[in-house]
Amino acid sequence: MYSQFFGNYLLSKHIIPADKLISAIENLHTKHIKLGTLAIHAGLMTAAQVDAIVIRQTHEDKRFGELAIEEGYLTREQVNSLLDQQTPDYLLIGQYLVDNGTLTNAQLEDLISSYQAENKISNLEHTNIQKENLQTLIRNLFLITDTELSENLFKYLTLLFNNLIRFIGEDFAPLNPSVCKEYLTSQCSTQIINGEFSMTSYFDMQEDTAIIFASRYVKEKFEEYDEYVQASIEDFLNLHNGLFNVNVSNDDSIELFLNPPVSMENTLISSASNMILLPIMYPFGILNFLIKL
Amino acid sequence: MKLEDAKILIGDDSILARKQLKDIISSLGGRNFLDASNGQEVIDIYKEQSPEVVFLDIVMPVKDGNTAIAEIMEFDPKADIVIVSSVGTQSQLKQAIQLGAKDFLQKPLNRRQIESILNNRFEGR
Repeated sequence: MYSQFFGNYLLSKHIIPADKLISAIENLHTKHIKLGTLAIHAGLMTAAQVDAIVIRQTHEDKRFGELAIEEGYLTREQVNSLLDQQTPDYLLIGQYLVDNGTLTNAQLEDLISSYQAENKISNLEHTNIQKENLQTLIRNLFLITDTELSENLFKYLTLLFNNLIRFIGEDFAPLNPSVCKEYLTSQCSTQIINGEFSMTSYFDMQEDTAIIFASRYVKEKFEEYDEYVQASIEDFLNLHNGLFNVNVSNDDSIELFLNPPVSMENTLISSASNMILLPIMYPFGILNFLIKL
Repeated sequence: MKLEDAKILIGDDSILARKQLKDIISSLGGRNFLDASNGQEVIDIYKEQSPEVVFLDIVMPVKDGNTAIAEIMEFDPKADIVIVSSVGTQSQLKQAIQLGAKDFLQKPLNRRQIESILNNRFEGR
């Protein structure tokens, strides 16, 4: 989960443009984390020390770990421990950007420490998605909207990120959310949740984006925007909202109700109160979630 | 009865959900499908065709799944109705079973669950 939020962090701090982030996300699966990146992340080596070892490697045929031990930067135990660790996936984005020359190791070192500090992620617990960490990441993401996230809205968003990973793919970054009173849809589905917690959800995207979205969701190749592609937008929203109702029912014994989802096209949605717009950037386009409370 | 001879009614407002369920059942040997995209259509088709089994969504326009179960059971107390819904809360499950549904499947669809439901009712190919 961290890589998606790290992507948002890089964009909002204007460290990289969207196209570079997309390219990093697309190439993540081809990358293996390097020991030097792990050592910087763990605070065991500085970027300058890693760079010095990398330079030594250009004229000595030795592994990074061996040279780091020779230089006294790491002990053998530390090398083994780093190699045994699970890799926090946001580090892979960082490493990709170093490898392709977008960032230096020193810039990555600064970024990691500021990202961890701002989101209260400690080195020790980076391998597991801790609930508190995720809560901080989501709350920080929504700080910009000046909206107080209720416990239910927080649950809704957490499930949304998990469902996107589960059904569409983890290669996305949430863009900065915003508040609006009007929104013009492209291909959109909407569904109302009623009960103790009520809201209207909208899920909107361009036709081209919807074709690939549907192909991923249904695991079938769609070539053109047709009724099945349109239904996939509706189906995902209905599935997500249904699973949310199940969670709320199981966790809090609260029964919520769903209206049937409805499709709309090129429609102006307006609201007297603020609506929250959350764009999710995938390599194939942007999925827009709109929430009216 | 063999699955290939059974009339199977699929009631779901999503054309995609109907197609996905139909694809799974076809791959298991099902041949005769009836489609309905809202609760009223499910009731009307049931009364006309008397299918052997009904797969039914709960959240649907015009009449929801639970209303459809109640009306179908009134017409035919032996109706075999399986709920396939994204809203598998305890109370939804309880209500559907009380109304007469025989099984309840939580979406997303799981091929093995569908297979097990069909194996309990029909002979294979």
